[in-house]
Amino acid sequence: MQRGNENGILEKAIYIATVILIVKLFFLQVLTPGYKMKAHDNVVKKVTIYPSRGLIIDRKGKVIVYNDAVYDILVQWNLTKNLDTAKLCELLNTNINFVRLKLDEIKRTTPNKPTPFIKLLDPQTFARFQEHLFEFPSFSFITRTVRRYPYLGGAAVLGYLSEVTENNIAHSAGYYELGDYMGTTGLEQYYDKYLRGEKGYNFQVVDVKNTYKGKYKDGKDDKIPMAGWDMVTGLDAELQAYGERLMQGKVGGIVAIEPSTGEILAYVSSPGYDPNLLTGRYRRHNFNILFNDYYKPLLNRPIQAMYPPGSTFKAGAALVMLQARIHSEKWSWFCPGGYRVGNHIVKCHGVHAIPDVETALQQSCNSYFCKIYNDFIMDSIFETPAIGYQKWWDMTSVFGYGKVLGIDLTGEKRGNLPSVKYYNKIFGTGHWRAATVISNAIGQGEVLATPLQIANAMAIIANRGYYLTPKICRYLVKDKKYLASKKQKTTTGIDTVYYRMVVDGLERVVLAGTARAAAIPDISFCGKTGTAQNPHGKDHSIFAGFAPKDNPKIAIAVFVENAGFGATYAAPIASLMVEKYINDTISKKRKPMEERMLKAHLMKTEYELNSIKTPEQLMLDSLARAKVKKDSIIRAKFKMDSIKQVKKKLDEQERIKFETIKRQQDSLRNKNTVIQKAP
Amino acid sequence: MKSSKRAYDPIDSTVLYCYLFLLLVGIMSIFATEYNGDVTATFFSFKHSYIKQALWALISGLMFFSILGFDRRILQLISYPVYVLVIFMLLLVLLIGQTTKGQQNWINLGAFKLQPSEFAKFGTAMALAKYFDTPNMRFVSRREYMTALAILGLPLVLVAGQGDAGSCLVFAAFIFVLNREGLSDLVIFLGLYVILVSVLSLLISQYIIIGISLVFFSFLIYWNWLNKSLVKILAVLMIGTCLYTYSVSYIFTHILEKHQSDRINVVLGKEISKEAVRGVAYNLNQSKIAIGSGGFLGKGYLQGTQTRYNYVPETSTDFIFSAIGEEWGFIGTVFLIIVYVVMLQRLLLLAERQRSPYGRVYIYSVVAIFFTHVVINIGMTIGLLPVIGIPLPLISYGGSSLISFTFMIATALKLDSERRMTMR
Repeated sequence: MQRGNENGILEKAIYIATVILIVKLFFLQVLTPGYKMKAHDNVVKKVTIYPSRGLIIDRKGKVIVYNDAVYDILVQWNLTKNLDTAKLCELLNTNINFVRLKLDEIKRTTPNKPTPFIKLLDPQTFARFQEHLFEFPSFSFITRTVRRYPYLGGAAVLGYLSEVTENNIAHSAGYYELGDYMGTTGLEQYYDKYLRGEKGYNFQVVDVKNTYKGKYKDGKDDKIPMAGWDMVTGLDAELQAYGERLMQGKVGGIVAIEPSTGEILAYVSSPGYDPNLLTGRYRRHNFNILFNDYYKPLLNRPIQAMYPPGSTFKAGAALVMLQARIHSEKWSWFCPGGYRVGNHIVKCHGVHAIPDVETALQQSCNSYFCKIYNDFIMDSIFETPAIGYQKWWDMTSVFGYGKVLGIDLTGEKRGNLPSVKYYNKIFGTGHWRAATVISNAIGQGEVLATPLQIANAMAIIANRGYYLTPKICRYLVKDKKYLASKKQKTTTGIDTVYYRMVVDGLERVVLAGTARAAAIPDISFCGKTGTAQNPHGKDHSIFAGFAPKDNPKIAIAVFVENAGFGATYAAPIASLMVEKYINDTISKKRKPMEERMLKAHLMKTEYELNSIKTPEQLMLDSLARAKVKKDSIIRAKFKMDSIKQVKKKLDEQERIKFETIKRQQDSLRNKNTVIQKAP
Repeated sequence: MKSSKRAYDPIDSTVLYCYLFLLLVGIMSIFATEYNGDVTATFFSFKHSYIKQALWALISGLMFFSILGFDRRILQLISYPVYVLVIFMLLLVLLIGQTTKGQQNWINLGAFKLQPSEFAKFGTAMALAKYFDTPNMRFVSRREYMTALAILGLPLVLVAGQGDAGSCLVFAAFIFVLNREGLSDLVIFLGLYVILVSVLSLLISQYIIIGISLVFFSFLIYWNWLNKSLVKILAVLMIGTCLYTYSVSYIFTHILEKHQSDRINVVLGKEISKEAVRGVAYNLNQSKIAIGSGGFLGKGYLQGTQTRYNYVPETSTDFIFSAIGEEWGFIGTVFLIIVYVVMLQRLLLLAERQRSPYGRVYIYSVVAIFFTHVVINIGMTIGLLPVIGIPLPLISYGGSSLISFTFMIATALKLDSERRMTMR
């Protein structure tokens, strides 16, 4: 016997609930695919193992760049308890505010992961911290490498590493990740693909507190890092360092090339900086200082600064003249102290008699070269000067002017060798002649060249007619695999005979010409001084040359900005470099000159640069200001008085006016009353 | 009439097997959540929950058999004393109980902790059964209604005082039992209606709900204008709905505690406070990831990463279903649910074949309690219901709940096996 409802509402509820639960589970477990990935991402942590970057070695086997271990200190916020911040500050050489801010930031962003607390800590500080690491259980560290430069120089050619940007990551085909470092300039950038090696990975399984629980798939997907290729360069570390010492206190650059191979021996950009500044913790701070420096130490002058080549251009000009047979080498010319073009005179250093081309080079006679340039272009075999100019342009550009030479650095400038098109645009087609563009003859005006191009032009002359693509890297090496850098031989098409004459002329420049100061005992040094006119200040001092005369070992170009004649600074510096390279020492006789060059300081002082006044000036200024103030007060008083006087006068006038009117009115009124009273 | 040789039948094997199966699944799953790859190190150490759970299972087994040894009359006799005892214990909890996670529901007995609210369910079921077993009980008069409600209401209020929302809902589920015994279906539908209105007014603006209900009921009243009694009910419903809707947000923000309203918001997909994003929303999401990543076939026993590496919180207790879902997949979860359904279905059958109201009401109560536990627990781990701390019967780690559920099943089986002893 039953009682109550037998409708089984509970039974129905059970069935309905079961169906709902199973449907939801079906959606969750079978129809939504994303959860597997999410669970994987939770548990599997990818730990990157950074490979050691390739070494850079000089031509004599000395290491110029190596790697040093530094440490990133990580902290996992959720494990941090009773942190002794005072001790932490002391150990890590930081201040309490930094620690607090950083911990707050980590707490807000990634409290459950080991997060970089201090990046790139130097080994000394780290060693001290490591002894106390057990007192900070939530802290850990990872080892990273930074570049070290034992020669403290060569920053312009070696380049630096910096943290990758979003753009770098997008273009790295998946290699780089946020927080990685990559070569940004110099060799580090050009050969980044080789130097960087390949990153390794460990896949770890971690629990919710991020503690290690074992390898993922027993390390099946792990990858061992591969070290980068080492690079052997043609640089001579000693010469490089010497060049940088010589250029201290001067603005400019040195490029030295081994003519037979096209290898760069020295590559100085001045003012330079210690490349160690741009590694490690204070990189950003130092970078900002360098970036904002007046003299732009980050500018890669040997390939990016363009100067008028000045008289160094004449060696090539002489060769072009000889090859074209405009005049013979024995053609003589009397220089009246200048070359007249219309109303303008290209000035020369003096009055010369030039019996042959060697003497022209020796004396660096402007008018001689203007004349041959003019004669070349205006030659009757050309229908118009434009055609002549084009011919001249073709023959000159083979010396590497106006084009990128293909050195293994990025950012190389092409210089400028103005084309026919350019002049047609400026003067109008047919409206210009050789005389119009005469300054090209002596390497002034629109002609611009980088120090590398000038050095390369000298290498061509040293080689008597050809050059190999200038390269810094000789070869890359890894596990006995070699990868030589590609060089291309370019010939000028000018007969070797003419080179002999020009080389003789260049030798006379050093022996008895404009660059006598650069003469080196025992070494036959050929070269050409140059003085590039600078509209913004003092002329640039230029020297280009090579040595020895036979079987040249080194071709060199030296630029010193705002230093005056080529003979004053550039030539001695070049000669010292050459002597250092060939003889390995500087002869006793030339020591005083070396001393003078090393000490010369041509850069502006800080006071001049920032228009900061010296204390004396400041005092004078304040006195002057006080006087001005006093004067102005006196003037103001005087003005006030005069205003008062004027006002008084005006008031007086007003009063007089008013009174006269009143008087008139009174008189009128009187008249009226008189008239009224009359009848 | 053919009389059987024995006065009582053997105990029902289906329920017994389901019971043993669930017990085994529980110990295995708790082991899985603690397993860290090294079997020998984890075996036989009392630090581990699964060893403790196995011990509790052993104790439960002993209790199971000892209950089978009782006479059913003794069970009936001790019904009220047990009820008084559990009420006393609930009071004791309020006085000396330990508070964890906002719930004051533990009594510390040194070696282990006692959770009286678990036993209260069992005691209340017995007391309710006993009350319905009184002679001349017809469950029609107001007095009878009030007494039945009082039996349920007393433990409910005490449990609510502990902040144990899950157990409150379990006591509310006794409404199914009352319905079986003659309470109108309308009460259940009214309950569903209240839940619907609450959810809607939390999701949509309460003024819109008020507007809609006004229009809707006005139409119904207009339609049934001649049926005066229906009009009265509809009018009461309309006013009730409007007032309730108006007060929902007040209840939600002022009466419910912060973490409770957050949990409801998570399920409804509404904006939640910052700590809830880190807390309950994170936990729920990890639980869903665990179950979802199990896929169709699961990752395999002891291969779950979400649950073994503590991404899902409370894996051995409230979120044990996540561990099962991750390691056994859709197949496993459905099978588990089916085992529950089979057991409850069988118990319902046993309830209906009881000769005495005592047995019927008691077994019905057991089914209602089990049902609520299972639905709320699974529902919360998969994001259907708000997160409410309530164990999955016979599987979740916890001695009090295991023993309490064992009592319920054992008593139900004992009553069934002796059902012929009752003469009516």
